[in-house]
Amino acid sequence: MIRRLFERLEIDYEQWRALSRTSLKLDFRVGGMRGVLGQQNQERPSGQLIGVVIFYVFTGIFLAGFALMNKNVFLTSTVLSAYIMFMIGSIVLIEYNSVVLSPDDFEILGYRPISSRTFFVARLTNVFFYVGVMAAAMAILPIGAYFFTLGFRPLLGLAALAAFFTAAFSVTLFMIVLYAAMLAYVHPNRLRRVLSYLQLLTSFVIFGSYALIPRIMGNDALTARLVPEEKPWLLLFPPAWYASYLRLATGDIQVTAWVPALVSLVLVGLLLVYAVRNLSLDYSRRLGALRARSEEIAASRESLRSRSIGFLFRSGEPRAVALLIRSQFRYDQKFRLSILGILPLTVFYLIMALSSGPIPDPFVAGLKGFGDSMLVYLAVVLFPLMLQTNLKNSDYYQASWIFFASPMHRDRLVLAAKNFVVMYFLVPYLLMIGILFGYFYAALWHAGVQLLVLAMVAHIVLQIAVFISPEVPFSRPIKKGERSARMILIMMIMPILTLGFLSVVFLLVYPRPILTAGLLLFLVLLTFLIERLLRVRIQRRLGALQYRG
Amino acid sequence: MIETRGLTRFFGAKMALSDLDLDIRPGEIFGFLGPNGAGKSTTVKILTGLLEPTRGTARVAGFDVTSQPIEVKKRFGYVPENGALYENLSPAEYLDLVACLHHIPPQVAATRIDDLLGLFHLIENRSQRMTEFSKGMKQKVALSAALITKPEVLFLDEPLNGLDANAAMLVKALLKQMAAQGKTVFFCSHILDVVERVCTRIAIINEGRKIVEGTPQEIINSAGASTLEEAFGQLTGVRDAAESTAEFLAALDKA
Repeated sequence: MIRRLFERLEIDYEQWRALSRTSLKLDFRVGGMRGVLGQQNQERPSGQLIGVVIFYVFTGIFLAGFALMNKNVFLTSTVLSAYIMFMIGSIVLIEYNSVVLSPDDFEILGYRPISSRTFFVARLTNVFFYVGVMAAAMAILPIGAYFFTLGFRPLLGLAALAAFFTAAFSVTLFMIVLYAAMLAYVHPNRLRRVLSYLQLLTSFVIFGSYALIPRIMGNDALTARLVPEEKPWLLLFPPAWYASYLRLATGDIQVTAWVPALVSLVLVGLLLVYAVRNLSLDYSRRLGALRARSEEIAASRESLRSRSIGFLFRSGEPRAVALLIRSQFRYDQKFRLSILGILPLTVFYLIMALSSGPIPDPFVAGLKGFGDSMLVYLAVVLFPLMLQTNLKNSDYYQASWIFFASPMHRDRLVLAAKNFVVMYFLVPYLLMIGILFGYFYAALWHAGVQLLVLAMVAHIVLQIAVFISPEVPFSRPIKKGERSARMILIMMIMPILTLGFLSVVFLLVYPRPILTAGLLLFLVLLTFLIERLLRVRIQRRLGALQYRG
Repeated sequence: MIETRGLTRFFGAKMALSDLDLDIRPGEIFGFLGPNGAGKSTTVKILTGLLEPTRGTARVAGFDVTSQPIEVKKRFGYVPENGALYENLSPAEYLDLVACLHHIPPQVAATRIDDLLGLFHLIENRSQRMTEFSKGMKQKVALSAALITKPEVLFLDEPLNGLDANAAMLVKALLKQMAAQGKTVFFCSHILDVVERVCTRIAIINEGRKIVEGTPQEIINSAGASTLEEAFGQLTGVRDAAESTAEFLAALDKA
């Protein structure tokens, strides 16, 4: 049946199967992974994916509980669809859009007799495989819960299955179509810039909607005290379209139930037809043009001598690392998109925090208003950490031989990457919020102390991250799913730890000047201690920090 | 078999290839020479469909590379300069993938894979991942992948890279026999003595322009040289190597 469908769509079934099988084989075989605390592991073909799946299944326990406790299945499934769409959207944003965009293996496959359409569909299949696995992991327990939410109702469970998978595939397809359309319609000379803007925009939309949803729906709605389906505006919200499947399964066949469901299906169908019929036609040629354009840019690159990269990175290992990070950002599409997928979050968090009113001075207000302004504090810790994790992997990891074959100190290389993040991301962000603190806080010294505490906490978090897994920059191969899994983990765990720590500081430490001074001293000492321990650890781990090319 | 007319390629404002005209007949081993950055790889990439020409036309095996790329790609084998392979596959898996992409029936593919791996002494490594392979072993797999489809035309960009002396001899003999069977071989290499011995005709390009074309002996005679290497140096305007290196070393000592 698939073969016949493919024939009708002029997709070569044999080639598609061979390409899809091979790409999965390759993904699962990227070796040399390191586990927690950096021990060298034997190659674990599917270890990373299994870890991610377990994590998502675990989070599914809470979602299933939410679905079981609230009898308003439309509301709960809207929230769950939104969650799944956000998670899948972020995963595609952070790494899977590059599967379609990156001309990685064009040099291997570009001269084979593969039609553009077959090539495109094979790549789409690869993305859909991972999206399917992750959506299944996230949704399996909530789907199970819907079988029993209103007594044993198998139809409701099946509707939940259809809703969550369609939601996951819709958001994936929408994003892929968006990026592939850029590839198809934008001239290669402008493509890199346009893709960067698109990445920023998508990042705003995805992370923005994640932060906006609870505000729009209101906290009461999340506990089902309101009945939002009575509000017509909710039907403008795409997750509600998929949730309408569950309304239909409960026997509600009003226009407000079947029209949104139909819209969601028509949308998926249109996107799929547009992608396969239109976008795929010129796909290979465009990838080739993108590759040629990258070569052009690389050929016209400026002299290294003319680059100014700051006084801390003038010579030795820090200069090497700074030059490498800058060059990766300029020429490595995947790295560039991953960074551009994160940066808008910083601005977004600031806007969100400010939209609730002035940032309260914790020395005066304690924990009052902490909930509204916490995003500002979270961003200080979250984003440098996200950026730091992106500096480990690259498709060009084999080029890192230069670090291993030259008389460089590997500990300095590892620390230079951390310091680069501090200098170019953490410090500018702190300066930006420093101005805000200075404006809103009751006293300037309050702002100064708060900035110092935040800076040191964020730096310590970075130090701990490097301590756990020290790596020479860009020396590990990219493994699909790893980057987004790390990001999601960071986004889930760090807020709890950071906000927990800060609330203790705001409540117990800031009211007492002596304790505040003690905290600053403690943080300074801790910073130096960890830095020292970090050097010792890296020295000990030098043997394990080996070339993986 | 290979025909180009006014083939030109620009990278931005930089001209990589200019008005290249070639006529290569079946049964020829055509040497395509030039200094680094002369436009050899750009030409091969255009002929294999990896790059589009800015202007001009190219036909391979009777088909236009721009308007009929799939038909062209069915008919040639290619060993790229960088020998790009999926190194996380074994040679058998990689060759099987290539066979699938060319619609070679599984039984036929299996026989050809065994034959090729046997020819290049890789039978014992057939299930080993290529990440563990030496450069020469990878090159043998790249050559096998080019040959498994029984191509009418072979594009070889530095095919002897990393090969040991025995394998290099084997490849040279293979090319001559394939040419004798009427196949066309487009051979880019910097190993000029090999080119001189193997190729029936040669073109030299420099800064994107073809500067000379003929049999190895014609080119040597036209340059008034005694070897192809000497003729190449004269034609591409390279200064005396000993003089240049002496100047460089002196500059290095001063710095």
